[in-house]
Amino acid sequence: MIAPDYVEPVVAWRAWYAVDGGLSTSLSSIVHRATWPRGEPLVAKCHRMRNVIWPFSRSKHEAPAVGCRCGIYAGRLETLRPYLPDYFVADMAVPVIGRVLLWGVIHEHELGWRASHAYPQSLYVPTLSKRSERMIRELRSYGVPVQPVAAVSAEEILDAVSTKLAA
Amino acid sequence: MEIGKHKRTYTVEPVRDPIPAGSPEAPKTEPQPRQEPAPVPVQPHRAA
Repeated sequence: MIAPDYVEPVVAWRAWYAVDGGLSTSLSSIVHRATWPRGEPLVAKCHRMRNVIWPFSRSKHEAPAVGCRCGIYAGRLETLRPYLPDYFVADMAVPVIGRVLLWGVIHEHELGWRASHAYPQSLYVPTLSKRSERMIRELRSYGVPVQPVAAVSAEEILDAVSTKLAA
Repeated sequence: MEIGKHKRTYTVEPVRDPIPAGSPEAPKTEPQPRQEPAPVPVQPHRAA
């Protein structure tokens, strides 16, 4: 057995959607249809399977792999802007930003990381309506701090979180 | 998510409990009541 290189997890930022499922609210990845489980880590899987029609596709492998784009992504706070809608609306899915713990196999890139295992560490949720307040309560079932933020746009939530961090 | 060029790869020790202590979802660590050993039934002496 090989000893890991580091003991402490990487702490980075990412964006999710908080999806109102009716009975509960869950975190969902923005790019892929991946729901983040409660109380246990999300484990990365590569969805690139060998395709008999396209012979150049990659074979199945453990995620994240060098030379592939698979893995659980996270970056610095300033890298989140392109992944948030300009203006937020009270809907079944609300953009959320927060810190995430990354561990296992980590590929470090210039602006962020790809990891094999992850779990949210803290969440910042825009307060848009009564539904948002319920979603915030339900997101607390992840067992991590969930902070409401009075923001209706990407610029506002990023500014508000930056201000909180600087305080 | 655009994270730029790959720099290096490393491994990080698994996080056993990612939920912070004190959270309502954190596992309870209160001491459990001591279990008394169950009484052993005494077999009545059977007369020969």
